[in-house]
Amino acid sequence: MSRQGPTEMTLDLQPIAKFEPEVATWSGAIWIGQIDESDLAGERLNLAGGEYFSRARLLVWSEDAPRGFVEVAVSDSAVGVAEISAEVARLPEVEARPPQHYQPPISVVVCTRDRPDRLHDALENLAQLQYPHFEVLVVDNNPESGLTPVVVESFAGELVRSVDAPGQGLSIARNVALKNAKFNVVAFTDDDVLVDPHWLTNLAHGFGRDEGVACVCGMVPSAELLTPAQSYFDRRVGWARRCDAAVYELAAPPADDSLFPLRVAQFGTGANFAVHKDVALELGGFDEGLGIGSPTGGGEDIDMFVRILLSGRMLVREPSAVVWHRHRRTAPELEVQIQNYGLGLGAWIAKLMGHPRTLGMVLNRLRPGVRHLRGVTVVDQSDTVGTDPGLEGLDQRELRGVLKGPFALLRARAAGRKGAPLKSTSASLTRALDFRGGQMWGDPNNSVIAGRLALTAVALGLVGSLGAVSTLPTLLLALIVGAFMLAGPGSLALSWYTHLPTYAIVPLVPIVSVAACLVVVTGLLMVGFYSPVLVLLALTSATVAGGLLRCGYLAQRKAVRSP
Amino acid sequence: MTAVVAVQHEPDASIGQPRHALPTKRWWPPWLLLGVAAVLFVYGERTIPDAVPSQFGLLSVASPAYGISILLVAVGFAVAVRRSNMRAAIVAIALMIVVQRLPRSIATDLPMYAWTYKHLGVVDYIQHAHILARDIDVYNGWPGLFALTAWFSDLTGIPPTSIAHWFTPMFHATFAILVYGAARAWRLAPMTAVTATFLVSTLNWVEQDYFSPQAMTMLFVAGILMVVGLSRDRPVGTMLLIVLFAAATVTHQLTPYWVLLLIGLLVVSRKMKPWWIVFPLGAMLIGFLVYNWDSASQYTLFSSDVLKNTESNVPTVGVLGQRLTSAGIRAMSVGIWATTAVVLLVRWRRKQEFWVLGLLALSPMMILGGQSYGGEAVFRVFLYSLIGCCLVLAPVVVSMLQGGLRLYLAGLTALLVATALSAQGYTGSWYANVMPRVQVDTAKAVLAQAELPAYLTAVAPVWPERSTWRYVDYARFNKRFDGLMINAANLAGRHFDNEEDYTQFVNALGSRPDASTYLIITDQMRVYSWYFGILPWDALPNLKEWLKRDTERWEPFYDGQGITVFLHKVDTSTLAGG
Repeated sequence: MSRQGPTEMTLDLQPIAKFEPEVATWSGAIWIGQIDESDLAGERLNLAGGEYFSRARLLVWSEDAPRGFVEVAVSDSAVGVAEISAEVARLPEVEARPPQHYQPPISVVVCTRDRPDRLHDALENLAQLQYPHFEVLVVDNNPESGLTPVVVESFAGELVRSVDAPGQGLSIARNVALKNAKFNVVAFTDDDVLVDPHWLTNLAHGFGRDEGVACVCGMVPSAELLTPAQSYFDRRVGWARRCDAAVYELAAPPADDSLFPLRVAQFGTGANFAVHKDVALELGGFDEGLGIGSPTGGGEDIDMFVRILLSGRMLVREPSAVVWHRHRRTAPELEVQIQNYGLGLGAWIAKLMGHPRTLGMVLNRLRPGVRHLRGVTVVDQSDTVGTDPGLEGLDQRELRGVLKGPFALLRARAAGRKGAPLKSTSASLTRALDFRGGQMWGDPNNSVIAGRLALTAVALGLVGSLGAVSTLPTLLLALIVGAFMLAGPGSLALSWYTHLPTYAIVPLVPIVSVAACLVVVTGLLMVGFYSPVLVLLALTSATVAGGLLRCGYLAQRKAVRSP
Repeated sequence: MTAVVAVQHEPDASIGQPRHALPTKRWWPPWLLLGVAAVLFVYGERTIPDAVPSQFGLLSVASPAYGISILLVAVGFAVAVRRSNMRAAIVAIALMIVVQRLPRSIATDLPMYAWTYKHLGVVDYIQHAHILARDIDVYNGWPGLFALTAWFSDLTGIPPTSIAHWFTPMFHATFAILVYGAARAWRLAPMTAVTATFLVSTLNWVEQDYFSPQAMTMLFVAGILMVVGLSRDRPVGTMLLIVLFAAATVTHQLTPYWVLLLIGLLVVSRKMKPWWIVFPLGAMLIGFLVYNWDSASQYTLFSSDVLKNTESNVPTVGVLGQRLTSAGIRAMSVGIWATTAVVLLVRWRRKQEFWVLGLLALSPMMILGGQSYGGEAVFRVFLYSLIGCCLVLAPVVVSMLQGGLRLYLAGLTALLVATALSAQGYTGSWYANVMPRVQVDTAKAVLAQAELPAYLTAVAPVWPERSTWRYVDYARFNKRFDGLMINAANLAGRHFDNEEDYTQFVNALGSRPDASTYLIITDQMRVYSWYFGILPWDALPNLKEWLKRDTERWEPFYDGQGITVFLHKVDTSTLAGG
């Protein structure tokens, strides 16, 4: 399969991503392209725009499969075929792929937020996909801005449609996509990528490897390396380090990987993967507390990969499914991204440690895990920092992000972002009180926070009623009664006022709670009734009953709204 | 100039949005300052219990490390604001509460201030009798805090004294969170709201933060102000407001009137919705006043003598240390009010929002037009106006701290001076108000052991009177059973070094023929009376000598650990028979 134009004495190779010459001023910039090894003929290969570069990186294909990357010197806008061939010879041979023609219909999802130009390029690119049956679903993560619909309308047709995901966060957008996708295979990519025309074919190939495959991750090489920041990121992430396919399964861990299944970088990344919709929905969808746009800034993709493996399904690394990624060009942009990576990773590790099963996994892999973390965050910057001092200390920033991750996850959870938001409840009582229903975090007029406050009131009411047991230790009684007095009635009251800003809700819960207790206790005392235990039980019972009624009302309202 | 700077930097959407994003690469300076302050506090605080008392207050005798720690927190906060380091600024607020307020709990045996124990006595009575003694005192008429404390204490077993002992730091921590919410609700940008919170936490010198109805009510007020701030364009949280106001109404006699006045003025000027809210709030307030009319009618409800209303409840001239401390806090308070007025004036001239902030900051002054509140009105005015003033001043402070070097230095200097004066005002009377455990234990023992009916009379202020439920029985015998002897005999300022003073003192007993008198003199009274100029330093030792010599009239009841109790016995059986 030729990946370039006709062959003559010299062949013109096109770069993966078009670039503006004025950007390629850094001496360490690398020209990026690809070639099929069968096209390696003649003496020299001309590189379109190669005059701005001293080195070139080529992804070498062997028919349908990538064999590896070679990096060679550029002279006079061209590279020597002999030199490339010598480098290719060092790459491992590609195993012949078994022929198969599994081509299920696929929903391609592009989640975007106010980047119309990038989205336009991405949709133009997706229109060139060579696949028999697919749709493109654009998820607008900020419908209020009105920037995305304009672009989608210009591609409107049977192929491209859009849905809104008002709640901020990539996970929420991905979950909206899962709920709205037409087909059972859902492929996710970003709006800052260039997809290979055979991307979907090769993703489908991954699913065809076994019936138990629920997730296929493709390769995400760098589409351009024009700046020190892009070079740093290229070295840091290693989304294209391995060109060999692999099938992962919890029951058959790789013999040479003591970190499995937590060495997530070898699976893939959020810019290029596909899942079976029914599996993702069964697992509850993407964690709203993770991912860019949430307080944690990332980690929703690796979380899904590992949850799929933990559920007993297979995950396939399919490097032939290629999506080229345009990394951030400047140090400030990269700094934010790297910090988010750290945050997301730290949050995800904290999430793992919050569940007994995965806690054991983390503890068993602690030492190699720390070594691995240290290893991947330290990036050789000998040729980048001198040019761009803004890149200095990024590894430290990432590690600091890892440490802050657990707190970010806590913030996300406190804000109502759920770990498995699409999980449906089975018990009738739980369903009757399921105030959330299928609502996404951030949906207009959603009842997530109201329901959580009402549930908090129920929990604190139940706990507070233990304050009637006078034989408990004083300290415990103080904690029990204190927690109820400071948050029980207040949580219930504030569940009607979730339209207030967070800075008001947080302090109003305790002061309203104390005020309610004070008014009740004082009022009863004024009419001559003083029985601390009875008053406590009355208050806690009223709070529990109120909380349950409120939850029930919210659940019913939700059911009425979306039957 | 500062006011001009502030308003120039104010965007339309919110007040005091910081404009200068200063380089944040060097993140550590505020943290270093705060860390050093914390270390100095840990060392300095340990020197407080053993420091030798002084008329110049706690700061003059504790290790200098303690005072420096307070100032360093202020510097750390200023540096944090300059660098737009929100987290460090928040930590500075928490640390300021720790360094200024925590010693009240960890460096003392028991809750400070003699009048705290009057409050604890009401709690004790509710726990003992399970009813209110509404015929006894005003506290039983507005029992919110006392009822809640009794309820919590009975349920958990935590003594009310412990609750009162930890009340001050808990009050400030809660108040800070509420003030931040209120500041945001009144449209201050986050860093400006944090600055307002820091100012409130730092400059609250007025010592209205002990276990008291007014302190508890201020927490409700902060919540109310938050809701009011959010309700300026459309009704928000009306029911919450009613609940908070109800709690304030049953807790304190004065504060809800100011709040209703403020809400009324905002409604009239169409700056708050819904307009009808004044009616349920007013009905609640009037209803409760009617309910308590018997006790309320005993006080002068209105007094239009503004000058008299501004007078403090300590009319005498104290020692040099007290006068200096007093002058400092007066200067600071006037400075805050004056600067607030200037800022509001500039806002008015520039056609920026000034009316609502002005009402919030300066409406408490109107209390002085109608009430003296037993000489405490002036303290309440400062307390009530503090939130509003800090909301007005915070944008100025932020602008200065984030401005050019000169502005920054001027802002930092002003902040440090205000912090120092406030800290001195807050701790200047420490040794007059600290309450030794033995004194409280003895007070309880006297209440328990004295034979009813009796007068339990301290010669001078600062005895923890009415500290147990038994006080109700004594008060039912005579509401003034514990009136100060020097007040009864009008003997303030006497040395008791001559017979005339003593005779006049004894003559006061003539008004108490119906029961025995337990007369209490303590070393603490000597310090307090001397500090505030109520009695000379030698007065109480002289009086004690007279009492000891006058064995016909007085018999020793208790003597030890700085406390002496004399008993003037009256045979009540004869009286009853006669």
